[in-house]
Amino acid sequence: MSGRAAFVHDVALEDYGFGGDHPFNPVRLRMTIELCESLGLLDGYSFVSPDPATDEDLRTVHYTSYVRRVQLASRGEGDLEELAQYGLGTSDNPIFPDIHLACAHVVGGTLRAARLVMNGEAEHAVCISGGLHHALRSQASGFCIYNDAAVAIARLKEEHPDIKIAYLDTDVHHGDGVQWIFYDDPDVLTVSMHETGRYLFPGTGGVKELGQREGNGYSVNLPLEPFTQDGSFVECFEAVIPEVLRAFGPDLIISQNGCDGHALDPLAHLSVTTRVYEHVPTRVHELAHELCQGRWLAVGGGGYDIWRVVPRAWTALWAAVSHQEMPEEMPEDWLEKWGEESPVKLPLLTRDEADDYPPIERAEQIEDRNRRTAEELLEKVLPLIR
Amino acid sequence: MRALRRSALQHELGDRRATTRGAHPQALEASYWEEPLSAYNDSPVSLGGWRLSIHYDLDDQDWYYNRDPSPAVSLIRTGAGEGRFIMRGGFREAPLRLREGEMLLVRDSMTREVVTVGPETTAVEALALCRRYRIRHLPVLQEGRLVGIISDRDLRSAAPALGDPDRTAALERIRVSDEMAREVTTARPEDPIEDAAMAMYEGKFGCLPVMEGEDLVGIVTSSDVMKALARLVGVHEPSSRLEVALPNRSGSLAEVVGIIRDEEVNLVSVLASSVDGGEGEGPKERVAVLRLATIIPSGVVKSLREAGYQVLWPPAEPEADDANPDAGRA
Repeated sequence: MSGRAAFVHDVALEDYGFGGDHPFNPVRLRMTIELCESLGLLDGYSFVSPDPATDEDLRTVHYTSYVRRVQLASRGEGDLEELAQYGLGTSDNPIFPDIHLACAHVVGGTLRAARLVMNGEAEHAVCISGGLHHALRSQASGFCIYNDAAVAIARLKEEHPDIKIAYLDTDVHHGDGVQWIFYDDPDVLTVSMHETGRYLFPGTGGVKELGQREGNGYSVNLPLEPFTQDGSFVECFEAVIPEVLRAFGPDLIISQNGCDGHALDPLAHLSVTTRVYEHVPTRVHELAHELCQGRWLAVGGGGYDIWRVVPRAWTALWAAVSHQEMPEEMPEDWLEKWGEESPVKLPLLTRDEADDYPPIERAEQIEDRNRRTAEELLEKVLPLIR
Repeated sequence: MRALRRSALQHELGDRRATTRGAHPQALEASYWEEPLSAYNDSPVSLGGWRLSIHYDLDDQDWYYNRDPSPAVSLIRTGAGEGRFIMRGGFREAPLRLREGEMLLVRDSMTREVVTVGPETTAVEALALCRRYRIRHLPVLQEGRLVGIISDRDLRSAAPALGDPDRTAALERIRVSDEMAREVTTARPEDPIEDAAMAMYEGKFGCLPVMEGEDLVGIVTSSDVMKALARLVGVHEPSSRLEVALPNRSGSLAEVVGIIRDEEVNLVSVLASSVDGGEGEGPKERVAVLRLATIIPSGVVKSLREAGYQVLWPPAEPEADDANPDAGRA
């Protein structure tokens, strides 16, 4: 299946969710897949079904004691106060039955997708369940139990000793877990574009976080102002990302495609639209062909307006990964089915329209500030990347 | 598991001079990104002319179980020119993590090795010390007692300007006692760091000698205080920032914190500032800045607004056009 795109998925991956009214809701995966199907974007494709990651896989990144804690929690055992020390059982990361397996399966999905690309079985691959970028070595954080992208990177580094991997994270929150795990590694470039951590979780991701020791220069952070909107986002992306990726020269690009920067997202305030979520994968696709023979793995990430934003954003992602054109209109059968469940009116078009979200007052100031952040970042980071 | 490279260990600790005076065990602390150093247990390391052995007071298993978020290295002096490291704690994943109880007292931020001079020290000698140790302030000791303090600037400005042919001779003639300040504001090791900050700000001092009774035990400079405060207000755990206006009545902060507790959200840090409302005795406004250990601050924000508090950040969510405030929250 060389030259083809692979969609790694299994219904088991839809078990990773926290239930109730928790914002991280796997229904968004089902809605995305059905939207892709309904638009004909999955015609001729079949899902690649992954195995769960093994304990050995997880231990490339996570501590044994942490994995053991998650497994205890998974069986409803363990001391709750102690588990909370590991970020487990908090209001952000509630424990649910078989939480270990559910998350290990997601990690397995990203790992499988990464291997498909590196082994040449697929040119590009997507695993929309992945992108759990906040998980730390021994702590659950921000809805993330295990760090799938980090495990995939660590495994690929073992399997391909000289590999250079670029991880590009455009989730609205800083990709802190992946950054810290590879903070001193010059072979893993982590790049995160996010709403500034001055206010937003997790609070890190400043321009000055550049990596350390041999890894100095290989952590790149572009924090954007609240209410950045499309124009400034795209401008900053174009100013920074191609240049930084070219300077690094990766063998593989992993992109994290959280779509929680959308104006409708309840957790953040970046105020972008589907334009950004179409622009980013399209450009990453081009850069993958320019820099690393097309080797590109795309994972999901945040996205909490599951009705109006996530399905459209990740359908655009799959369209980019699979070299297909996304139709303009939302399919009627899909609208009919999900319209009944949705508490909000579903959009009728796959793309937001320019005047759906009018520009805000301080736009010029915000654009200027973002521009200066991008300049400062390039000045700092480019001399360090070899 | 990766072990810390020895060169890195030496490099890290090499930047911190080992303490060599005093009968009490002196501790050096340094933080690492690396994993447990079991490979180096009880192996000798040379550091700044010291022969040191590394010792872990926890085995790997304990290391994992006692997931102290803050690793620390203590250097304990065991004899002349000898010492040992005690490693404790776990793996550090974010920079500038605060250790429990650390950075809040003067003793946690002060420099323990104090370079001092006597009243009869010449300006030339004193300035040479400042250059060698890259410091600006020298406490003046006479028979072990603190009698004054002098800065490199005091000494320089006492002599004719740079380029003046008499300058060198003048610097050799001037004694520290001629120029030192005799009334010295000092701090105690147990003072809160904010007291030191306030004393330095009000008196426009660049440093405070730290006294334990009659003994000079350290010195705390404005940059030490700045660093401590920067760490105090920094981001040590993944968290969201919340700004709330506090009405000036007793218990308002407690009420805010209570609402956060009721939402079952953990607090990472709290800062509250007091701002003059204007003309002298006017009403005061306060703003509390809280860091919440959650990616979803919206529940807390909603409850605070319902309780009548003005939340300055995050902004109110725009009204959903479908009149459903929980839009997108299946």
